[in-house]
Amino acid sequence: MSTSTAISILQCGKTYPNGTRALETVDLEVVSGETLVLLGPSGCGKTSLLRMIAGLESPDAGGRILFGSEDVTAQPPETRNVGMVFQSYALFPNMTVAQNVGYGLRIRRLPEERRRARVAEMLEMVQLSALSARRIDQLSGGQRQRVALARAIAVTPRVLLLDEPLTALDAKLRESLRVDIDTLLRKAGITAIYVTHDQAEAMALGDRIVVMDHGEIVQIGSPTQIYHAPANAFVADFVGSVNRLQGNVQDGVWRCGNAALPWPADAPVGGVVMVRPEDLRLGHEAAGAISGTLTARYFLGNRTRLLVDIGQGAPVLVDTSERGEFALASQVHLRIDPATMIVLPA
Amino acid sequence: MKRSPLFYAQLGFTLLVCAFMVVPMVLSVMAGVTTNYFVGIKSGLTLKWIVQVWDLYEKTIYLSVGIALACVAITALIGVPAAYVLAQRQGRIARLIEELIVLPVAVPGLATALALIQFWGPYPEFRTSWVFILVGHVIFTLPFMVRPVLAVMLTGNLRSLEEAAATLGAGFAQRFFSVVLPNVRGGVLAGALMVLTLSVGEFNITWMLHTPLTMTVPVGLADSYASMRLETGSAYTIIFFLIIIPLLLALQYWNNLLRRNDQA
Repeated sequence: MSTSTAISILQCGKTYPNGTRALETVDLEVVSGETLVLLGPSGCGKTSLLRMIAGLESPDAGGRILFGSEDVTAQPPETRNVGMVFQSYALFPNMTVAQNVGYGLRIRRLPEERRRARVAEMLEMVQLSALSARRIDQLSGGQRQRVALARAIAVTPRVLLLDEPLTALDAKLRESLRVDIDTLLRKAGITAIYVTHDQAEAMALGDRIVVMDHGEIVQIGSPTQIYHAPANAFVADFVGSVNRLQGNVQDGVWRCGNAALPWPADAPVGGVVMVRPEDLRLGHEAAGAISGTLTARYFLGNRTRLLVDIGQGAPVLVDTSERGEFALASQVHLRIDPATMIVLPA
Repeated sequence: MKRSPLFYAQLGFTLLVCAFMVVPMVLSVMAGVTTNYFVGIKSGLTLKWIVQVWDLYEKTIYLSVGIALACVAITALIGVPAAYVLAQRQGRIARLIEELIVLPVAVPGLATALALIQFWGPYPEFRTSWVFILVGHVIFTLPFMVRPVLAVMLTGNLRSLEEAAATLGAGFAQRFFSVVLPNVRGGVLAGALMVLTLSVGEFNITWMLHTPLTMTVPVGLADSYASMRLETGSAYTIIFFLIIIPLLLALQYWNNLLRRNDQA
């Protein structure tokens, strides 16, 4: 199966009848075959945008949605040929697993034999062949999610839309299903748009991530770009943890404690310096480092998170994979690799 | 296991309440098969009153059952789409209509009947046909179909089920029949049970709307109590039970059967 359609969202905004502005006017190009993740806190407009692409909401006047070169703005969902996976799964309780997966094929009047073959293929893909005759209420959450996925892909949609498909599941299952979904999307080569508020999910699945906030697109980029070169403080904060460090810039050098780092030439004047917890290294000497007092430590298995008071109000977060005692109230010296310094407009 | 005194107190109270409701019914049923109610059981048991009622009022029974079944069909045909629209619209007008549908239950049946007679009086053929009574029953029982169906529609995630069906290519009619209806069947059946019982037992409106040729069972019951021996009226009550109980059991059985099929 290889259906991949590029999607263009042109000047689309969404205002609900009660006056709520869910989405500011945005433009977005989805490359054919890619997995694009819409990431943002709840109420940021990501679901509204997804529902618009599905045809479940219509954009405000002037907005247009193209599938390839075809303008689908005025088309209802049933003629758009999209596959959608809902947060609540939305599986039909009056049908079996196989009937759910075959629903779209039945609507398309596919001959019984081909329909059966396709359903079997889909169930095998999501490893649920043994449960084809089960009722939906006899399935676990993870199984339901896989049925929903199989049902959406069975119709060979032009684009697969996933609305927080893993939110309702527990952490462990979420992680394993994330891998399954990723493998599936790669294999199918299908254009997919994935909505989530979970940055780890976005990082793992997205070819590109669109970070949204208050109905606006804040940044579009690859997971590494979003993480290492966030467009603003909101993105830096939302995607992973980050420390804001106060210092002084003088003669092209930024100083904080005993640390002195070259101030990037393209950095904005009065910019704020941010450093990820894992980019702060523990050193043994005070010279050239930011020193502070260890106030708390949390062993997290693969790493230890330290809270260090450097006299700037909020404690600095440090993630280290070193094994050590990390005695509380001890002196800690932190070093920063200039390459990991993120400078953003204040 | 040793039961506490509280258990026996509760059991006693429950039995007392049951007796309060059941004893008069039993007495009435007994009266229907007693040769002479005033003499009592010792006057002997007989089926002659039942036979007499059957001879006199047989037609009322067919009419009642016919009207009740037609009433269930029509309230389902109107009520389910109405509930669907009300479930879709969350506005104030929708809520107002929801309340308006219930109005005929609050307004005395006599008033509803009077309004119908005033309006349809000029059309004697309609006025004297059994369909006229059916109209009254539909007006009165419609909320009992709309309410349970609406409740089921609002509790489930019917909206996202419909959306899922739409994204899978199903148009409105396909969605309605393959997804909406099967998933609100419980509400429709609950409504049908209510409508059926209410229609069979409806007296207020029917009493005003009926003609001597369009008498239903409850009207016939009043007629027999008013114009004949007490035993005849009681025999009529027995026949009433004989109609309504199997009807209800059949519906309940059908409901259970569907549910079992679902689980199979």
